[in-house]
Amino acid sequence: MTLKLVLAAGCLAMISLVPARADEIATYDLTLEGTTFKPAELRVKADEPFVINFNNMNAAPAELEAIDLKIEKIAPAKSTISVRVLPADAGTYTFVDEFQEDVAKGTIIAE
Amino acid sequence: MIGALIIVFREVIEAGLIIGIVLAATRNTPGSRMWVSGGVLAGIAGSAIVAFSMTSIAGAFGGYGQEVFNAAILGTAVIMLVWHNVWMAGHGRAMANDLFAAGRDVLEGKRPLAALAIVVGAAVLREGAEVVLFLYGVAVSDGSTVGQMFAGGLAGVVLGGALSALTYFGLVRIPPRHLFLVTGILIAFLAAGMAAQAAAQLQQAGIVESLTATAWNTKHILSERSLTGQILHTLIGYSERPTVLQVVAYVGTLIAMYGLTRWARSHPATAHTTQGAPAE
Repeated sequence: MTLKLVLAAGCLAMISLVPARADEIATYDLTLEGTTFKPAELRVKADEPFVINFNNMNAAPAELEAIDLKIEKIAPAKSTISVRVLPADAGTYTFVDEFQEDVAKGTIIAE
Repeated sequence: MIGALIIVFREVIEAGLIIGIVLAATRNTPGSRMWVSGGVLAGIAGSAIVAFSMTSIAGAFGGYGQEVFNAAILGTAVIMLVWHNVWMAGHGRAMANDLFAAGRDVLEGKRPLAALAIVVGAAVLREGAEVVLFLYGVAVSDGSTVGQMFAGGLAGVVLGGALSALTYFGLVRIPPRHLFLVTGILIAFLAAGMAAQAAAQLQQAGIVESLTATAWNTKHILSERSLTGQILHTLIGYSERPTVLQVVAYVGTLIAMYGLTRWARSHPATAHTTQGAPAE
């Protein structure tokens, strides 16, 4: 009985932790329409973790990928996903929609 | 078409290498081809299911369902790989002497096969879902190049199969006595690399927030994007910019694998499985 309570409390704590932390973190919006990212240049703070809310407006799935930032995440057709990014050194990083990587590109500038 | 080929091939490299290694590791076990094929087919079927459930997977766990899902798949594969090596360390001699060819021991000998079939299925599933989504995306787009893109994608899958064959035939040229050791070591590093990937996924989901500092950055020496980098990424878990936690998971898995297989070797197969084996 007690064990169950402890487990339940633990689960609740874990569930409530995830969104709580997400609130404190800097969040940037990014949209993909066709082969165009908006903004094409995303400016973020260097050395701090951040979250990208990525909105894929296309009828086809997309995969947001920036290998140097360890971003690699699928966004189903017409959906928005969140991507957590670990602190990045100051610099310029390329991101693509991997499914159309020759044409759909953008950059993240950490400063 | 070349673009599609490259994208798909990049996804199937990992599964291709793993299938080749597993086939070589289970070469002398009766029925291994069937188990591996079963793993591949289950992985493909699972890929399609995952691909078309992606919306609900992506939405789970506060939007980090993909990461949790990947970490779970990788974690399962790691456990199966460790268990396989430990089992083989305890039963290796009996296996090598073909003592599993008869009687109820056949059933016992199938257990590591089932574990490796799960590993193969997990490898296909993880990258396969991306291939399915990519090809689906191509199919729903209305460009004139759909046919070519599909042809490119299929060629990428075929190349992945060729890589499996190359790995397999490369490995089976090793004399059987050493093959067991070589595949055992390959499996240990595969498992360590997967554990490191699982750790990264948990960090990206925000479930683990410690040890996120970068351990090293060797991007300029060997990019993970290059073919060599990617093959090494699969085979030994090479990462151009791992976090400290990834390194800990990697080293921890290798140590656990080494410790457990040593222990299994010093406590060889139970009486049940060595029945009828000549005393040595």
